[in-house]
Amino acid sequence: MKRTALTLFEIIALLAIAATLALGSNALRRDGLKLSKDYFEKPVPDTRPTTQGSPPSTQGPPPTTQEPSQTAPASQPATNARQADVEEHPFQVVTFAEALDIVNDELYEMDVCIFVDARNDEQFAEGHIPRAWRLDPYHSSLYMDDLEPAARDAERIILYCDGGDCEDAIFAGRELLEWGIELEKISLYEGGMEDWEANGGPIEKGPLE
Amino acid sequence: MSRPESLLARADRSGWPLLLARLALGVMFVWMGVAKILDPVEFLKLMRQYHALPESPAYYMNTVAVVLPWIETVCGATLLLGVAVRGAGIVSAVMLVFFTPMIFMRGLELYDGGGGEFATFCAVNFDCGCGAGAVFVCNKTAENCGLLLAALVAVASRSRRFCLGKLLTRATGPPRPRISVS
Repeated sequence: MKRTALTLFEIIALLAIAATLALGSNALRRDGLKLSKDYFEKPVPDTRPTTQGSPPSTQGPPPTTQEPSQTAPASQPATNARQADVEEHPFQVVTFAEALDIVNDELYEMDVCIFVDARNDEQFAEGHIPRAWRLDPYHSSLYMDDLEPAARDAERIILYCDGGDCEDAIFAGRELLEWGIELEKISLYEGGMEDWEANGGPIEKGPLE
Repeated sequence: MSRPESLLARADRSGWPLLLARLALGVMFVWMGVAKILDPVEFLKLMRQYHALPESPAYYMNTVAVVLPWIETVCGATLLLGVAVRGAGIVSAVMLVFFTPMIFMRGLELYDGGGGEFATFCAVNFDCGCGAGAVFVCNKTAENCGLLLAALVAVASRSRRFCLGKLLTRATGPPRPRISVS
């Protein structure tokens, strides 16, 4: 009886210590999780803009407005086909060719059109689309001060992550919408970094300065 | 006349089976727990793939993603130190009993839905969210069964040899009565 009570006490004490350390450290961490935030909530797809509603683009060809499930460009390798469990999103979709045109445009350096990388620090440092901004959707507040003014000024924002079944770019798009950025300005490069690298797109390495 | 001690009881009394079990379980739990603590977002994303918890309200999944790695780490640390061994063994065993079938089922799901991507079930390789990156499902299942056995040893053992808890009890316990010889 005494042994059972002692064991029960040990279990309760262990769980209490672990919970205290976990919640305490999470509250103190800069990159801690916000417990009440739904990180996987997606923007509502039925607000998808029509072709007529999209703003004029200053760089590159106009964005495609196909259904995401039909948007795999010819240049995109089969491995980048989005998996069935990746849900729809309301954003316009750009292909590799369109994305490359934007990067090669001489106006690209003026941030009229910006790329936003939704991957983590490590992946970003390993290689990203040149001049891409960062927006890790799980720690969006860390990037808000820098990115929000640039996103407001830009005429077009193209989000990307790994490609394949990666959904982080969609979640980053939701963050931009929450900041009040117009849906019409936001596009998604679904092929992501996998497609960009596979097609030989230029890559910049190192952390964001 | 006392009954002869069984081989298992004698082995247990030596303290070595418990020490081995504590080291195996403790090292694995601390290693994997710390890996998850360092990257809570990655753990949250990997946990989501099991669809074991409701996504709404978000509070459930986020809290589990924050607390679970610390439970693992605290259990691992106490096992390594030899404090609250039975309690830590029970918590570890419960976690392993829950997670091992989940990993196995996820492996089956990937094998069935892989469209021939994996030649055999044991070739299924994925990041199970265990803290060690991508693993082969059969290897992981076998490893977890081994850890479960170690957890059961920690629960059942009556020996407290090589345990810090016993040393502390001795140091802080009531003084032994002195036997005076007159």
